[in-house]
Amino acid sequence: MPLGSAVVPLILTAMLASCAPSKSGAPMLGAPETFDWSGVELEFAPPHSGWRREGQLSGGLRGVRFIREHGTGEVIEVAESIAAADRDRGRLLDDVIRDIETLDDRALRRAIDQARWRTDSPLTDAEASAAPRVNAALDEAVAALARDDRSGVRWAVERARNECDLPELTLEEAVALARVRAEQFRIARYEESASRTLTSAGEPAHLVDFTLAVDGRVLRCRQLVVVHGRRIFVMSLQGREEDLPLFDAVTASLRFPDSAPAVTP
Amino acid sequence: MTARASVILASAMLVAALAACSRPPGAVPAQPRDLQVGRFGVRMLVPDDVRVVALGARCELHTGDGPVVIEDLGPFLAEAYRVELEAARALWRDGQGPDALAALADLSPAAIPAGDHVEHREFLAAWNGLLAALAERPPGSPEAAFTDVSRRLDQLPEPTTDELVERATAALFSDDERREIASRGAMEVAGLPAVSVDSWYRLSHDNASRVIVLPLRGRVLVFHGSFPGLRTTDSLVVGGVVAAIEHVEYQGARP
Repeated sequence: MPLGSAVVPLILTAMLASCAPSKSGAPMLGAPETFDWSGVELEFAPPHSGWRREGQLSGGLRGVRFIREHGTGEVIEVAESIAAADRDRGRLLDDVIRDIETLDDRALRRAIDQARWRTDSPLTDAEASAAPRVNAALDEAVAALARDDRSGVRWAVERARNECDLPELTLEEAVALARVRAEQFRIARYEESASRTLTSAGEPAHLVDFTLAVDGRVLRCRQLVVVHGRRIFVMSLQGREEDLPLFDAVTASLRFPDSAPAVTP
Repeated sequence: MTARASVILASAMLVAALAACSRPPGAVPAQPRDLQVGRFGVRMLVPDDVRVVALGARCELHTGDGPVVIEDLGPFLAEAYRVELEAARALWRDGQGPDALAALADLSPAAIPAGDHVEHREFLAAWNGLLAALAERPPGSPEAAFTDVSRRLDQLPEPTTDELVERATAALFSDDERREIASRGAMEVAGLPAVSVDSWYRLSHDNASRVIVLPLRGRVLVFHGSFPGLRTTDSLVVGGVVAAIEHVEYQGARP
């Protein structure tokens, strides 16, 4: 075959290759990305192309939303429960301890105040018990700061930090907080078809399949709730039946970099 | 089509594709131009279709892709503060006390790094004492206050390049807590060592922004631009602007 006849198709093939689905027919995913929304990293591979992204900060969730371009409202969300993340004060207190000697009085006072634990609507009994003790220790830290006693501040903040080491959330606690419910939808009709527990990214998880009927259209939906330590991550699809393989591929790519790698025999 | 014609056609397509990648459409010849950006003189090639808006310490280059900003973020290290301090001292000795006060009042010494909170507090007290002396509250000679601040500047620790870059990007993004650093790497601007910092929105990893931080004589000159909807700043206009810079020099405190 003449060289030129071979080169032209080669260029066209290369140009088209990036747009084509994979040979196996599996959904195309982009390169894995590591997100850190509030101190705990998670990694997953997002949809490859044809889905635009935007930040999500609603419904008690903080994360990213992928919306099908030129679609009819198909959405894949990967997000973290704000309620669970904001009740994990250990990271904030670690930062305060690290910066005690360098922050000026006003900045240190602000950092201590920001590390206080919310005491309304605790997620667990352990948290209900720990939160007042943490805040009492932080009150002592503020008093020590007023006396210009940085050693006293350190002692009190370290005591508060020790109180933050609570047991991990159970799947039941996470599901109670984050699972999709019929009453969330005022206009659309919610119909659940299946739910089950499973393991995702080596962590306990709960999956719900449901449909939403609105304006004569039925949306195929799936929600996956994953517990990681004291954090809750939620991945959800609202779309069409043919979007399920892509959503499942995104969820299968989920990984927590701070977890020990799985040991295989 | 003959084999020879096919080869010519394929080669032409390849050349056209490469040309489209390497040069923006409609590019016009660039002319060397001297820009004054705060305390820095910047000589760069500016295409005729790029509009330059000079705003003192900030210079905007309006391209078709969006503005790229060159900005003098001011003094970050003791070395630069000392230059400003001595310029103010010269003004005061020349009988221009109010001008000396105005020059120092524009600076933000609260951000200067110190060894610990005590050293930081004492440095700020000395600085504020100097401003009070220049304002003649209470009346007296500021000479001793100038000397005290100068001595304390000598004792401040020298931050690492990483710390300097962190402070520079924090100064730029102080009103945007949604942003996080995606990557950074060493580079050169007109032969001077600089650091390129790419950031994006924490939640979605889009709205990419590139900042190129050039520390020089204790001050920081930055080049930055934001690109809504994009996830990467590779090969975008900030890099093009930086590549067009021929020379950067620090021009000292104004008399």
